[in-house]
Amino acid sequence: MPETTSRSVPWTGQTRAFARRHVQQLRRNKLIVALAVGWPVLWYFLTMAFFIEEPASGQLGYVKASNGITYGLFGAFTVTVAVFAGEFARDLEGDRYRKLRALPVSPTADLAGRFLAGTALGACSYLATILAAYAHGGTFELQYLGPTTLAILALTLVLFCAIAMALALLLALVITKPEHMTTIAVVVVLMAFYLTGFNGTVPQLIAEDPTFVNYLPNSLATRMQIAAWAGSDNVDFMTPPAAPLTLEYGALLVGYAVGLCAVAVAIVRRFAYGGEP
Amino acid sequence: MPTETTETETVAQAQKTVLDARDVAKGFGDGAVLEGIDLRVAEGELLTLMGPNGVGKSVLLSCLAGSTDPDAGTIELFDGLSPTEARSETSVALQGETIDPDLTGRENLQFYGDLHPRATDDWREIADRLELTDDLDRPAREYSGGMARKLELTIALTVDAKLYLLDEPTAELDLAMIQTVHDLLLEYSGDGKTILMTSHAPLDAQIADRIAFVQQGRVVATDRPSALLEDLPPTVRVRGGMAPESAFLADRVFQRGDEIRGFLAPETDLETIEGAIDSGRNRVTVERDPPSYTDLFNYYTYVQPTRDAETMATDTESTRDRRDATVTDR
Repeated sequence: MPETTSRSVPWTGQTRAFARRHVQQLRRNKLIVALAVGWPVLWYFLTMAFFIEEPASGQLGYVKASNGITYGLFGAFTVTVAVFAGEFARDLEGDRYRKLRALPVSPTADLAGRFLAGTALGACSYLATILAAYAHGGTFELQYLGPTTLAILALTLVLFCAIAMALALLLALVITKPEHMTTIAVVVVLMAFYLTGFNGTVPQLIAEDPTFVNYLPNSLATRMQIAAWAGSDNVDFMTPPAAPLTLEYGALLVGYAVGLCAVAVAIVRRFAYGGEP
Repeated sequence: MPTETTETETVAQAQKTVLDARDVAKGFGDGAVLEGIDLRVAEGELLTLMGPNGVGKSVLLSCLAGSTDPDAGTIELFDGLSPTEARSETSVALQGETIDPDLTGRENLQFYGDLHPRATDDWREIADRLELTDDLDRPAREYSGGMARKLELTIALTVDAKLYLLDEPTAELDLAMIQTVHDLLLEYSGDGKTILMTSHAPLDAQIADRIAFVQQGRVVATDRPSALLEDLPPTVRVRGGMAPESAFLADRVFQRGDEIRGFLAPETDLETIEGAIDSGRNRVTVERDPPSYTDLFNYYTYVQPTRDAETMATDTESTRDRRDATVTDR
């Protein structure tokens, strides 16, 4: 019998190590910090300046809040995709995984650590944009936010980041040049944003039947969040289709996140920890 | 030739075996890199795996570390564990960009230390000895190749492992630092740790308990350094003239400073070599010289493969002649 038994650092400890590493990386990456904060805030102000007509009296604050949420999620999506895809591609391109495969490391701890760091940055981006919209006069009426609404807001944000993470890993497999990853990630996110009518907040932009905005993950999460925050009776500007605030839509979003996370785990196991050099 | 099991190997087998690789093969695309490597490492042994660039030393180390799956063969560590199962008992320094350039040296140490269950706080002392302490707070992307190597080595040696797998630990280091690394490895070895390191620097042979030479994807010789040196053909040193390569074993000579070195072929003597040298007005000396580790490396890297090829060609020719003779008889 072998005298030596296999053991490893607890999964949570490994996850913490990976999360801390990514936060340390991000802290030094000025481009990512600019992307996290400056990019969505810039888009918010550009939209308010050039695309929004003077709304009815008393409505401007709500329009600003809606745009704050829209671009907050847009920013979260952008940085999560850019960070995830870029760092994963860099680790694959370098020899980091040759070393990590020689350590008793769990692939899911690696993924969870990356996800925590990406979500933290995504949340910072989201909150920075909301704060900018608030400072600009957005009406958020925080006093009316109940626990259910807060839970929906948090859940949609986290699920949104999980979906972005999984898409980023797929992107990293296709685009093997890490130096191009941030640019490509931004282009992909912008395409998703515009092709779904500003993440589903302006479905009137879509020439054909816009029902699909309630079924694609980026527009579904954005519409669900705005409807949860403002109340489904106050989101006429983004209907039809009807605001997706039923359990079925929630389940669909969870389904996207679970399915894409499973794909992400498979990718990391196969391509990062699969044993090939 | 020390290609078969030797006395030293028999002793090594009698000791507890920490690593046992048998018939390990690995290829990439159409090219085979490892073609049936057999290697055994005993507990507490410091074994240096030597060979020129590109013979598969790093690939073998990756296989032993659990980082790469071999195509064929078996690898057992600590009496029956696979490389993957044994990862908590091994510590690895692989060549390449394993450190994260976006982190500082200290953050790299923390990251990899946090992932190994046997990591210790010894990194301060090791970093000090490797003269890395003052640079630990700089981003690793600013490190030179030698500094990166020292950081990778610090990360690996900080772990209290039973087996250290070190891929060219002295690459890109200056001579003084190579001596420091040798001292460190000898201390670890003295503490009973088992070390398998790769190298193509003859200097690294001097600290080895045993050397294994890899050539064309196989281990072609393994023994104690002194035994390998004793088994070399006579080494010849020529000064003051250009000796024709054809006068030496496998038609190979090696320039070292102002002298030419080569190995004496069985059918040749010193006088024959001296006679073949066009000395001009120089005073020529042709003499035997005790072999160095560089001679040892040159022999197994350049001379023996040529001899093996010649032997194989002769065997093939003999077989063909015999077959032709048989056909004629009929």
